[in-house]
Amino acid sequence: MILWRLTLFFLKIGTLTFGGGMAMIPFIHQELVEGLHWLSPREFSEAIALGQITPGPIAISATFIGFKLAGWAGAVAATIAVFLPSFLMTVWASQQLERLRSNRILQAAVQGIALCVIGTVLAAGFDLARAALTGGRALQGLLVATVALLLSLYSPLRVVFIVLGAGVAGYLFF
Amino acid sequence: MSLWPIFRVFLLLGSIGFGGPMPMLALIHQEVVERRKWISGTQFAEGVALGQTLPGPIAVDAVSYIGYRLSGWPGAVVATFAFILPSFFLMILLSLLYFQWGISPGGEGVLRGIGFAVVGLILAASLRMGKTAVKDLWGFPPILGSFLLLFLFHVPILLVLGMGALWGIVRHISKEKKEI
Repeated sequence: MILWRLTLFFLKIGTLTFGGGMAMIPFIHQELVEGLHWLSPREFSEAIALGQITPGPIAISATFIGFKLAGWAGAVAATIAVFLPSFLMTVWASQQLERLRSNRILQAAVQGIALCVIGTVLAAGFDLARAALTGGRALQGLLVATVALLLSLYSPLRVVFIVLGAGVAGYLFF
Repeated sequence: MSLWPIFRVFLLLGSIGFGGPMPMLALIHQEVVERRKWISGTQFAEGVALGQTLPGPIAVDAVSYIGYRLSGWPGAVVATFAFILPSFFLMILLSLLYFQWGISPGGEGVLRGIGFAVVGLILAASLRMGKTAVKDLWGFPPILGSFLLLFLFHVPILLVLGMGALWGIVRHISKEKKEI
């Protein structure tokens, strides 16, 4: 049953996404887009864009994906599932703070994972780029992507405006 | 501390927290540490560190931690719930527009433009993550390795992250040996 599989998937993601909401993206891409084909590359990139223009964490993209796959119930289940594991772990860790801080092996493992997460996010970005480029007008597309990259890194502009600006640019270019 | 003010404040923060974890954390700091003095700056920093270490969205983890500090388990539940609620409803609305009624603003061109911007934003995010996580040259092999394993060979991500944990532990042990 899709609702059940959806819930399990987001529970898994919620448990394994070290390094913030962005770390979710490679998982979703590999399993839901490439593996199960539950989501087209287009819908996937929409989900991320919407997650960024709404306030709050980008993990809320799970709501959109859940809604697509199983309607209202899917949206609620995916949202609860994606936040529940880290919520439980955070409260548990708040109680154990002293002990966790002194566990250096754990800290070292987390640092190693954090580095690999960066590689996985990069790979998801490149995969998305490959999918986006197949639609033609590659030059304009690369321009939009580069400008978004630079604005995000070097300007105080909020992500909402970068996404909206890219929408306008897309309307004019494509 | 009673739960109602916790609910109200985090509902507000969840409605105006745009732009990723760091701007959101700045906003939460302003409200909870500076204005209301609910927790100290050190406690806040601890919450952020916790969010960065544990899985899940950093800002949400920090919010759960603050809620717990304020009012135990009930505080954690209320703060987290209130913080996520606004974006959840907004996302439901957007999903309805997109999937039920097939409304996508401006059509094909706009969506493609946004698609390309998302590529740029994801790459920017990975560069920002790199800036905080990479401490020396030894930081680069795992990044490059996991990128290649995933992009070229589509290795399961879990395996890649497991290798990362192993890398971190081995580096830690070899560093300690050198010190001895």
